[in-house]
Amino acid sequence: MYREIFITYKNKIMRDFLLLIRTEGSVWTDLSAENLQKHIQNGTAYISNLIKEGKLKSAQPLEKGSRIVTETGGVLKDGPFNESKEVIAGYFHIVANDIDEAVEIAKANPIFKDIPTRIEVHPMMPVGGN
Amino acid sequence: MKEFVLFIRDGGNIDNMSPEELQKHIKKFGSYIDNLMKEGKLKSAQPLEINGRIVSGKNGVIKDGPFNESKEVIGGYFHVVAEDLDEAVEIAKANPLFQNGEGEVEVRPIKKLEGINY
Repeated sequence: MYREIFITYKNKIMRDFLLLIRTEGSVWTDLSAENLQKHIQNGTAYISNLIKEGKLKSAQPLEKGSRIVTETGGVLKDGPFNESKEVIAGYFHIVANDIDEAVEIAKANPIFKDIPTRIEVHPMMPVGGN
Repeated sequence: MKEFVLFIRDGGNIDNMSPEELQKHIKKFGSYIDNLMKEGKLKSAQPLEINGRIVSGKNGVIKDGPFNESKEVIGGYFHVVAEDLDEAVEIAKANPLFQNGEGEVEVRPIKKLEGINY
């Protein structure tokens, strides 16, 4: 079922991608007030460009303070998440012609200037609600 | 109400399912999603494909390459609204992925920032 919908969808020009931003540390706590201000300004400019180009569907920064729900031996547990290393700092839901364009959009993210970052570029499956 | 993102790590369960299991899985997810929508708690639900690329940058050098498809890979996400983190965790716990075996849901509050949220 996924496959059929995917093939139909592939014939359309634009595809949806999720850019998942993973940072070593957190801009909220690791940058000076001045640098955080610049970071937000650069982010705003990047985002308004994407909006102008019609490429952005959603952009959400995430706070620290997550919980994680896991299942071990049939028992559901939840607890705080270890955020000391790499954390998901936010995400962008974009549209692009193909994964190469999505990668280029990821590369233009100004966050790379501020903090060691990895951006995962995920093609999205065109199923589920929106 | 606050907004949260639930990131799903299902260890690639879907890939190992028989067509019947996949059918059941889609049904269960469908009714989970329907319920959330009826309750006005769902803003977006998106499954992700397993293949993708990683762009990494350190000290001004930006590279890109394939991801290693580990169990850590995120299989999808839900953007939900809830009273607080506790309610968001309850929504995560009701996720039918936990009926399929191992899985993990990371529950993250969205930060409100003018000019950034979209």
